[in-house]
Amino acid sequence: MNDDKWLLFFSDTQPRRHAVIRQVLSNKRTVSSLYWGMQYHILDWLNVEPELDEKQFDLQIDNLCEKGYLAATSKGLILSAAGIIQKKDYQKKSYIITEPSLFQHIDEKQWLELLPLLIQVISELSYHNHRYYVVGSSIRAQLFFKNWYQNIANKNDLASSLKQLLKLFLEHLPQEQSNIFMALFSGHETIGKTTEQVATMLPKFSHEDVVSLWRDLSMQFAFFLLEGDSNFRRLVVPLSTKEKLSKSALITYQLFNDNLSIEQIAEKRRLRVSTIKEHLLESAILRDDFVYHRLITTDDYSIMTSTFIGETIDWDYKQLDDHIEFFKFRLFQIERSKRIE
Amino acid sequence: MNNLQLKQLLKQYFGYSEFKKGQIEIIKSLLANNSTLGILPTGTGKSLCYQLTGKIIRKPVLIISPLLSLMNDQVEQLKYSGEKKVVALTSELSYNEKDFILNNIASYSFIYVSPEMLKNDKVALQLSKIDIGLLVVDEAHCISQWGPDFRPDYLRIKNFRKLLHCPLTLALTATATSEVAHDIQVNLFDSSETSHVIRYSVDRPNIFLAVHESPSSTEKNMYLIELISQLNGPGLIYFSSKKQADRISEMIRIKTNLRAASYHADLSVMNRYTIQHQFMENQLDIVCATSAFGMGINKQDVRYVIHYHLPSDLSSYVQEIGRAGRDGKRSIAVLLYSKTDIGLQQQLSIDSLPDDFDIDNFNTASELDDPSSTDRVLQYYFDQNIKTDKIKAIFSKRRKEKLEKLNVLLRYITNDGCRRKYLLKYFRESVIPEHNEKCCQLRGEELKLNEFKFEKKKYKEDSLVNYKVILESFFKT
Repeated sequence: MNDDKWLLFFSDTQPRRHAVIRQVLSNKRTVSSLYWGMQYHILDWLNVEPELDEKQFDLQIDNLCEKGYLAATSKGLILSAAGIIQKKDYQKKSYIITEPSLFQHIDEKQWLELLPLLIQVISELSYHNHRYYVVGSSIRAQLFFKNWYQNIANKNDLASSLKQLLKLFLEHLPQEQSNIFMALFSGHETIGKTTEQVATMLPKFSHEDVVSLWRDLSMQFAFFLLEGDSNFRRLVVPLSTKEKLSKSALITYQLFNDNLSIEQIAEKRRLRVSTIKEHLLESAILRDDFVYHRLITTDDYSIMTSTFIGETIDWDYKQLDDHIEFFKFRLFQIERSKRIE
Repeated sequence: MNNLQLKQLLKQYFGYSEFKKGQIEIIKSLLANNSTLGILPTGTGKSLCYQLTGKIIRKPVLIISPLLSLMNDQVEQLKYSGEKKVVALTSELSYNEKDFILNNIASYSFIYVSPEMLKNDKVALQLSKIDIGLLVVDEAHCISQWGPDFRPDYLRIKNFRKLLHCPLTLALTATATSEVAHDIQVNLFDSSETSHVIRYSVDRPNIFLAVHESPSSTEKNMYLIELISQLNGPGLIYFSSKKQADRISEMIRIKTNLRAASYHADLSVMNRYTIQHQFMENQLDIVCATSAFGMGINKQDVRYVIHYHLPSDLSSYVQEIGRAGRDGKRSIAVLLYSKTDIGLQQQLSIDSLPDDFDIDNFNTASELDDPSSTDRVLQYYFDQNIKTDKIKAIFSKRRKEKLEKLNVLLRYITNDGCRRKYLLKYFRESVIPEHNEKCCQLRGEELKLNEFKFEKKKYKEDSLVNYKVILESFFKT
């Protein structure tokens, strides 16, 4: 794997990104990782690398330091001059996932098993062939698929509909990308190619590029189906969620919107006040409809507005001399950061 | 039912015109209502024995199988043959999915289940409600308590079988010494029951046996390239390490015009499917694989099997080379050996066994999320209240046995006599054919490849097809 990929997430001025990058990519949610992920504008990448191994990642970062692309400062790692060039070079030459935010909304693991199954089964159906080896997929995915398939009233239109949808979806992409994408599937009398085989055929694409393209376009196609009203939409709906909040944070947020106070929520949910506050910070970061003035009074606002100027990320809580609690300060910081965005 | 009728059914259900050695005897034994232990070498189509029997008796067949990948392969094969009422109950499924299958269990004709699942009360209860026509215990040697492949959950089968009112049973294994065969019978059947044993030779006369000793890995790689550039394919190359399988597969692609791919557990399910099926359809000449490959793959015309690393023992070697020449045509097995490989094999098979320290510190109370097979075995011994010293002695004995097995394998390499004779003697076979030039390459003899050589083929450069063309060919509208 190409370690240079991680350079995309580093900056030449903000040295504390290392751990945040790992936590955001692997969807390890803490208020701190979410907050800093937001400040570094990398929250769209939540859950894009769910299998990321901490040790492996750290080794790769060490490797980037050794190559001189990352430089150590007293506060952490920043991109060096060589690193900035290397990052640009990587961006130019590599396939970078274009819709990372979909990885928060669609169950990638399930979908990447279902999509090849869908294409193969419908392909064989169009030839009325029942004797074929089903593409590699877990029994779980097969059961899920079967359940969808059996509930379709009119199967005759499936092939033409899927063909049409794939055409519509693919014709907006660069042709080479569409060719790569389709080459990976198996269908009637055709065995697909592995990502590695496709990469060896194309000098401009590394194996990792092909894998990224495959994941990215598969997820985009899932979204495309979700937005439409075909039979296939029902296959994707159970795998998708619009909700960004974790389950527990969502319950807190709903109670908060029902006008309960933090203390009332804590009592009702038998959770600590500090936990409830964490849930609310998560909600403020991930939702765009958070009602800040329910927690920050007009007085708080006027004190903080007059105290802080400049970039929100540079604000120092100590300037408030303990007049306002940290929780409110952080909420205010989130609100202002989002306003600037 | 006579042989002719059985052949007709074979043709009707599976499309084959002939049975392989041993299949018809086993099927007849089962149809005569005899529980049977079938010891058949790999590549002889053991699964067909119960698949055809199941179709004939028209009652559900329950198959206990230890390997998830093997189960999935067999489910696919049955589905391919047109049998849709087949399912595998494994830990891979969610609670709801298991529940769904169990509630509809009576609608399946072939039910695969992992031995671990028998612990589950609901599984046992639902299975006991249906009228099982045939119970199959696959890889039955795993039941042998003191054997190297022991799986404690296999010991549950005897009681489970009683719960099912002792249905007709078929135990299958590829290689079993007489001790293991005895163990299987004792641990599966009541003393009042009689079971038939049908055993066939492990010998595969159409496979030529050869060994190449390499002084270094550089020489080994050069020799490998030279070898596969001459050999008639398709072929399999086995490795003990996934990384090495990747590396050599790449080397082959660069240095020859052969189409090679690597295959191991790190690949995605989709890529694994692709490689297996490209190989089956002769779109690949070589698969560089770890032992994960080929368990359920039914390719008849594999012309050679090369071992890049040492196999774990002679039994696995026989199993793995058995993937060559299933069509009965001349094939060759070459074991590449260099002294440094011993360390790797020792590390893989012997050092992975728990030592005294591991046993002293094994926490029996801890909940194991995903216990390794060693942990399961340890847990089993502790559950049986066997004293720590005894457990230590068991593993010390097992370590010695593994070391001895490694030595047996090394003697296969360094032995001066006929390799086939050595092999058959080890499996205590009664009939040992006389050595001739078609049998094996003796130590020190030059390996003559004449009859295995192929005509050089030129492949077209593979290129990507326009996606619109693929869409047109995929969907006939």
